Amino acid sequence: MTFFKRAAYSAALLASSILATPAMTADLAIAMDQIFQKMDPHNSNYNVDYSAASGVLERLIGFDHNMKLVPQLATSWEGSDDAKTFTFKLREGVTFHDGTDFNAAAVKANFDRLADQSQNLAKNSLFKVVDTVETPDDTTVVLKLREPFGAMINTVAHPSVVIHSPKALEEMGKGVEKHPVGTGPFKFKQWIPGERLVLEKNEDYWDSEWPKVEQVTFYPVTESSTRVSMLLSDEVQFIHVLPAELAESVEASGDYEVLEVPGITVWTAAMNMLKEHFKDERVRRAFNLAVDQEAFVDVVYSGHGVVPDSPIAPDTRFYESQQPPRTDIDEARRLMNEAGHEDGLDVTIWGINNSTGVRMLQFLQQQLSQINVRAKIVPMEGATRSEKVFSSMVPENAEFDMLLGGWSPSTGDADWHLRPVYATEGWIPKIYNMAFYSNETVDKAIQDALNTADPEKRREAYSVAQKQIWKDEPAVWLAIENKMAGRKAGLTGVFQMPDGTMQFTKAAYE
Amino acid sequence: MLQYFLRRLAALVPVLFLISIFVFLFIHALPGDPARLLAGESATQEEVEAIRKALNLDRPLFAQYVDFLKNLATGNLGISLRTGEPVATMIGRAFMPTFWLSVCALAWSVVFGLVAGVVSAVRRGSAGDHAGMFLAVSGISMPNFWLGLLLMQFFSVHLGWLGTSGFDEPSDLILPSITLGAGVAAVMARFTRSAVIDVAREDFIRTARAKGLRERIVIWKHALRNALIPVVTMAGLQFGFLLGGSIVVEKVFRWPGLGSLLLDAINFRDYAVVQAEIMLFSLQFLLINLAVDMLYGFINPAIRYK
Repeated sequence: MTFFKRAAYSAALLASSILATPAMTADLAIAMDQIFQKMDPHNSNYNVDYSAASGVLERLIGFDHNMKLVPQLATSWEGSDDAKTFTFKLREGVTFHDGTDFNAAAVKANFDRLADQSQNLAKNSLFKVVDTVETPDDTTVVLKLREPFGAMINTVAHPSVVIHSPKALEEMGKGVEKHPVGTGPFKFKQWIPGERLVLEKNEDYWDSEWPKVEQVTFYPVTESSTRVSMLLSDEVQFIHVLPAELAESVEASGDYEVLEVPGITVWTAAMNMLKEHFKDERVRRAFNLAVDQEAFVDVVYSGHGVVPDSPIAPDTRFYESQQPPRTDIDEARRLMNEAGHEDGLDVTIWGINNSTGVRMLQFLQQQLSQINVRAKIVPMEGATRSEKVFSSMVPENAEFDMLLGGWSPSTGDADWHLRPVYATEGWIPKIYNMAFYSNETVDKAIQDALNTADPEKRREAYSVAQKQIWKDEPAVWLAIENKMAGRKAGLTGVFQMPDGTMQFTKAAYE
Repeated sequence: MLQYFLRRLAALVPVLFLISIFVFLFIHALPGDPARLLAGESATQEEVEAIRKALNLDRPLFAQYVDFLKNLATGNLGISLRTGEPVATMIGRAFMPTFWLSVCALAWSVVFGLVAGVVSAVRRGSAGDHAGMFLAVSGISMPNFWLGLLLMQFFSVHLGWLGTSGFDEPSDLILPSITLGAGVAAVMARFTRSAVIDVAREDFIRTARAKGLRERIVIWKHALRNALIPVVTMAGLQFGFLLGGSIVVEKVFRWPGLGSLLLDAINFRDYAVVQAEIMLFSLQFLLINLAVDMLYGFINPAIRYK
């Protein structure tokens, strides 16, 4: 039976790996909170994949630590006024790890792959608006769109829009997800699924100053206490993610530091506006007034978070602050009575069954009880929740009154937060509009912002959308959790990003 | 005896067939959509449909079962929905780490359990007996992840003697096998103690003592040997559980074994992997049971196989 042969083979592999001891000097080891799925970001929706692959595969445009756009393989870019043509100037003198040249044709091969919807890749939909990819010369790429899409620059900066070696794509096809070949500062070396992923220094990297470490090893470590132990025993120099409740154990020992940045994930409890009681804006107002957001951040994130003051987070492009939420139980009770709920109201709240998710639910339940709302909380296992919320969801029959969820706009642009979560086209199960919120002003503003590539016009449109959503309160605003990581003192250039990914290509020891 | 063995072996086939039906039905009855899970929470419906199509998950359930059986009969365990790898490769990779962990955990816990059980039985009611049984009850009740983290904190972080986790060298087996074996050692100790106490009341023990045999021989040769049958049955059962891979211990110690694989597979509703693993666990259990039955004959020559 082949099974036993394989078992014996794996034993032999194991024996050989025991004999090989890694060099420790300028190496970097990182523990991640999730297992890696695919080293092809075109076909993955997971931040861990984007993070590790970013060492090997580069994008035209990247993000800095504040989610601002920075040049990577493109040196400059611009969009036409009608937001239908986007032109990128490419960096010269770059080669792929397999020795082939990086040029406009290479970018076209990748963009064509993303635009070709028949590929059935996880991120094909990002490029659905792309009509043709043109290469007027070796260092210029022009994207022509079917319809205006003002958020295209940020879409090209999405962590999944990487440039594979066209030769590798041709030879391996989907196999690139097991052995990526790109232009990055690191080359793919080895991947034992569920165990480790190893990258090694690319000696011919186009920026001769980098990289400064010889080898990077990623370990998927789903148990957070184990991640912390690995850091504290110097087996790894960086851990991503560090849960808030373990931050103290890292901080207590002076050789390590806790990194903390505000995230761009906004957590809300959506109110199902197809239900009669939530059609009444007084009830939605009352629910928001009943919840003390500051206390929520303390209880759920041990204080490591901020209270949202807009439907989108401050580090999201085109964010505009609104009136911060306030707590006023008397006012909330008055509004409930006015809306005819003198006898209180029964609601069902769906959430997630991990410890943070359960804390969220219990806190909400307690807060709402102050205005005589009897909440039945339903924590669900991840897969069950995703089935109930997405796969078998018919909006009119939705059983929940409120649904807890967090959205992070992975393009860093307001469009990919406001459109999936608040536009009518985003109603679950289609994307993530869990309140079944629908407002013409908002829909129009979101569309207006897409019809132009002019940042000022887009800003105005998103200002309109944010104001209207904030006024309509389709959700109880809860929190923006901080993204936290642990790092060995003396290590620089490795940090977590507001969008939940991490960067390590500029790692160096002081 | 060989005939008996072969007959028992053949009887496994219909049992495994029944198990295959239950496994298939159970996993498909679980709520959860693999295409959606693979796509991720923030995926659009289009992205999910693209994945569903790519994985052929739209076929009727019965057809999927027939495929599964056909593959199984030819030794093909299918392809993982999550990684696209052959399931046999994944299980092959995870099998040995779990096997070594189980063997180490069982080895120390059986030796420890037997000795502690016999000593407790002989010194029944003494301080040593109480202390031993106190330890045993603690071993049974202590949550695995807590003991594991405690050991890791002390030996790896504080003292720096051992690696925290992973399986790179043989010494990495120490902490996880202690953690995993603690509960088993406790069960074995309690089982051995009561079995030895029962046997010690029998007439032949009194006869052995009456004819002047030394107490050591009475206990270790006559009493223990006769007490072994329930103890071996228990050890076999425990081994079956251990080989299934402890999800908790493997998760805490980042062990690349069957338990970790199963956990990831269940979280992602990776049907092919879950099915194959549960079939493998069932087969292991059945084989261990058979081995235990065969062992009875060696322990007690009075047992005959027909």
